[in-house]
Amino acid sequence: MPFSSLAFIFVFFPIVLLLFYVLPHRIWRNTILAISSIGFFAWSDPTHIHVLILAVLINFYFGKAIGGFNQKGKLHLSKTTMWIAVSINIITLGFYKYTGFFFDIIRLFTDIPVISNLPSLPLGVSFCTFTGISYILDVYNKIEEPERNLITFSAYMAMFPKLLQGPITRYKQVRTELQQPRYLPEGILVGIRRFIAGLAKKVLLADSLGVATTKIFNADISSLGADLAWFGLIAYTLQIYLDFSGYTDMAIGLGKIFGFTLPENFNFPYISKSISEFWRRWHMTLTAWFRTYLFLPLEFARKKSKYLRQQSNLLIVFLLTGLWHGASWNFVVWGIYFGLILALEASGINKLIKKLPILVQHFYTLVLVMIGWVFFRLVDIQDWGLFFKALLGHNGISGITTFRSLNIIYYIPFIIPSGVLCFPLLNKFKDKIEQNSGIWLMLLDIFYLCLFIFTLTYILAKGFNAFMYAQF
Amino acid sequence: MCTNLKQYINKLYRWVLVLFFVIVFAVPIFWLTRGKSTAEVSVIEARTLAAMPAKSFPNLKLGLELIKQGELFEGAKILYGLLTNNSFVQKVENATSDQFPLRMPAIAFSKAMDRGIVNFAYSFTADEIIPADVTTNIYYDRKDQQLIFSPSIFDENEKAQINLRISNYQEIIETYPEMSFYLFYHQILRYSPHHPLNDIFENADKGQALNYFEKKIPVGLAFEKFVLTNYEDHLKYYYRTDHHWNIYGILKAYDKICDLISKDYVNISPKQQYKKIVSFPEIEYLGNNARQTFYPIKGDLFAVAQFDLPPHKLVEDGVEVDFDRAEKYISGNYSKIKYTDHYNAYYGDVPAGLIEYTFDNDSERNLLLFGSSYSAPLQPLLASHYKRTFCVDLRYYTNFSLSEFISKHDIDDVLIIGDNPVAFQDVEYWLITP
Repeated sequence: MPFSSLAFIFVFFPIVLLLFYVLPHRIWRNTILAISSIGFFAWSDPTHIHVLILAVLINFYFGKAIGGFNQKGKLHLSKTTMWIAVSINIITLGFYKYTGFFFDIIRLFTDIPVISNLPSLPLGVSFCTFTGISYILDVYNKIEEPERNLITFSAYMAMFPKLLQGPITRYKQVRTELQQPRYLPEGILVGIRRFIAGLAKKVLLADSLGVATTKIFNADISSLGADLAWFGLIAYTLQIYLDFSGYTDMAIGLGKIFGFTLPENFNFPYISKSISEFWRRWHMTLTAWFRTYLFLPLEFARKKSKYLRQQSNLLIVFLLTGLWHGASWNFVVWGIYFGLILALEASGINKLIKKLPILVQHFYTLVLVMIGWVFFRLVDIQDWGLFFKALLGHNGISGITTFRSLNIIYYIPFIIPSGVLCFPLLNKFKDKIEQNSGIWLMLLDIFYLCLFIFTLTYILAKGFNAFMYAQF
Repeated sequence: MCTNLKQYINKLYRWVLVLFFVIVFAVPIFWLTRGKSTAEVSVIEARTLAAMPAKSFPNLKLGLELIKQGELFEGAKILYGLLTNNSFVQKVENATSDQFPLRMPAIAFSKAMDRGIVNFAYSFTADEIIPADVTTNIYYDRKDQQLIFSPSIFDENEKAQINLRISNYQEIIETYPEMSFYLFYHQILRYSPHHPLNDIFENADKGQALNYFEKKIPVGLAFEKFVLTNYEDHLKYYYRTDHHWNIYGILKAYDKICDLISKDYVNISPKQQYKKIVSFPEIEYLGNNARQTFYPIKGDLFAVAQFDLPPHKLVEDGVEVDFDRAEKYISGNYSKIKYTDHYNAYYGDVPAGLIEYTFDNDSERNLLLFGSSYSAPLQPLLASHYKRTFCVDLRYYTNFSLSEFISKHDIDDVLIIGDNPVAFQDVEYWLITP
């Protein structure tokens, strides 16, 4: 059930909100949150409901066991249990997400037949397993006490605002709010504003740009001129950011409404001055996850290695980041591409870049990120060359396929507000108003309310689209 | 005073966002308090709106009952089916949209905003023809103030489909040599060489599909065409706000079809002559293209031809129709609702079943007519030349079989009337199973 569907906004959300706030006791509220989250999942993906329930139970009981062993000083048992739990999470992810890819690789070297009935991908499985692994490792590393209450833990693992697309939330980030909730009207107000902003970003801008990018990338790539190729790439760059950050805004907003502070996932990534900065601003919770649970342990484990340690670790991390996004070669290349750039930046290029004029630094970053989106968007590797040729004007400024023939002139103006939202200017303005209150805040809220109604008219007229990151 | 005002505003701003909750809760309360949600018909969209699914789950009760009785496997199977069946979810999703309060004004508002953006985006171009809407392929021709579909595409796939249709024609002609087969093709703008947007679309049909078919017309298929010889023909014979032909197009088609069938049917009765052309100036006919886009366009003049047809009986889907739609219209008994589909209301909605005409005349021949809504105005006129006429719209049949049909009905002539898809291009609906 996407957050932008009318069924979510006018059926699921009011029912859950009403039950959540009508029930007086914390444990009842967590029960409502857990049950409604499972219902939320079942609405969209009923055939995989067992995967979610098993993930909750496995991580809960293994976490409890690891905590118990830790307490009793049985560290060997604790370690074994941790590895079993992490392996189960990884095997689950691997089974559902990578079985097909695994057979594709084997098929490169052997004559095994194509397997038609592969397991279908449960919604949000990548996010769910990463949440589970982070919990297990935090308990094992004694960063976190294991949760003793299954309902509270279920509310955390399955929490519907973050269930399908994150932000990937560590238990310590919401533990206090689950155990000692505080519901402040201010939080709810902030949550509503954030939810509306995310909804508008997604429905009005990302979905509109999505129509244009789909038409461009589905067209015969060899017929694209430089104008259309660049427009398509810019539109896709904006679309993927607005779609995912729109979802995150809605998730964080919903979290706030239900009394939770979910971690931020984006910090205006397109204003970065280097690729390493970009990855500190883009999908921050995933980057943090890989840094905490993979990169730092790798650095520690290989601390005696003298040559290219950090660089090779970065490559490993980003290869896996690419694979996390999808089981296909384009994601592998996308991951390696960023891994190599980051390795180069870590080797000293970053120092050189910092000496360049700021505008050049921004340009360098944006161009490399956009090139990355070509690998990300075009699944068929054969299309990459054709698309880069189109970008470089190989087919002329204007090709056989045109803005008119694809009927996408309408979408050109959407670039302007979408571009503006990539800069922190509006956000700073909003924050300033929120701090001061008064008539400006009232006007801001009237604006949000109008935006909400306006967005609803768009959903009614055009329906809603799935979020791009839901496929991961 | 100033401080008081500030404090008041500080308190008030929260109430603005309280309105958010009012909206969010008002909609489900509206659904709950309005009583049973019924499946209404939307005149504008010409479709039945989705209704909220029943609140009770009979299968849930049954599943639980079976488990209670110890039939664990059967009960669990039913419950699992209930959980994994997506139809309930789909029904709710559709109904939340279709039953949303103030839905049509909201959609109209959204489309108006889209038009504003289209106008802005195209203000940097010199284009006379701009998209009328962003969810359809309908364009607005500013010069001639009409709504037209973008050109249709002609490619290898279309060629393959035409080849399939040709084989299909050959097969039925060879299977039934005693019957006469006629094909009447009429060209609409999107398939014609005169579409004003043809130059923009690299694979625009431009009449290519017709040329391709004409080169391979099967022997034994009598063929006649009504093509657009220029852009003005389109303006003359078709509505500006609808894809259908107007009365002048209908009369021209009737004339040409009579000429076509009279080649084999030599004793055909004289062509029906209309008494007069009656127009309804109070009807501002906003056709399908206007309905789909909500484009603020001046409606078409709705005019019909009055004929004195011999006495006849009309049976639609097994039910005798004992009223005369033309008479109803002429007496002023028609819908006054904006966006009413007068074309279908006057010439007859396409029913899912068979339409059967029986005329009280001297003819001894029976006709089987395949066609879409374009053929509806021609049906009674053509039927007047036959004893019995059976009209079939194959889009509403899943298992139509010609052999089965002629085993029940005595057929002499088979006539297919249509534009590209119906005549020779579509293989999803219009292949005729021998």
